Amino acid sequence: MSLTDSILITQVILNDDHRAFKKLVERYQSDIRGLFLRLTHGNKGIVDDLAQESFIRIYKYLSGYRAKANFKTWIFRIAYNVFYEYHTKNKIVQVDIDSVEAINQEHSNSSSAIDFQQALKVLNQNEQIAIVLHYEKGFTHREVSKITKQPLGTVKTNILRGKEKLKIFYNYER
Amino acid sequence: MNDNFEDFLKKEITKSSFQSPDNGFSDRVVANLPKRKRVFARREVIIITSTFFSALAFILTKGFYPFIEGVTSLFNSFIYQTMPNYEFVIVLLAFIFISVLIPLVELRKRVL
Repeated sequence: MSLTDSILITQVILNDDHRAFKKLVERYQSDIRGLFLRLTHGNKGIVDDLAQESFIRIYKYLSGYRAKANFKTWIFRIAYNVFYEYHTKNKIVQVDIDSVEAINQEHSNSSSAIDFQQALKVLNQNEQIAIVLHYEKGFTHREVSKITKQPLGTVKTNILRGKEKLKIFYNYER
Repeated sequence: MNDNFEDFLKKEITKSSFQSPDNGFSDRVVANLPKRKRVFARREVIIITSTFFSALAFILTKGFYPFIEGVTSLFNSFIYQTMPNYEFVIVLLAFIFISVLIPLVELRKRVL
């Protein structure tokens, strides 16, 4: 029988139970590492460091977690903060929208399907995170807004713009 | 409207999605966990202890009778429009302020 998140969280807060925290890590590590893998464009060298830093912060601030917020949204918010700090320290190379055509051309020559990982490179950081959280991780617009601490309208705009850029990238026609 | 591109995009994401196996990651995280400050528990103990001793002091010094007396005289001064006992009013206001301020600060910390 698997214990619910709230039981595990209570065990960590009250008893400082490392085994309970390990279960939480096991439960969410794939999601968090997957998010970082997307946002760092597959830089596996840094993914585990960022994920580890995120989980350590989750552990540190767990007693500050309020059950009224979804736990998954809360941990993604911490992971987003970790990534944001990393991103501002080490500027990740962004591909300008003008180079979409060039990347697209490069990939249309290959027989393999265009990887979504490559497609993300045409988006700016805010668009990337909004698209990944909404379409891949299944968060609602409002939850994405909570995670990124951006206004709901901005999140919707980022998703819309991101979608338009991806449409161009994939040469998508109805 | 859920356009066709959204379906296409979701398929593309599914195609390139991956499940990261744990491979000892959770063990590494647990091994590097810092010692958690038990500030929360310590604060609770301090608050409960000080509340207990304040209540005890209040009972032992028979603070209840002067309190009732003070409140009664305050109401009487309002009714008969005489000078209230200012010392009592100041002490009462100070106690009300403290008893509101502490829970308010605690509540704000928990919400934030």
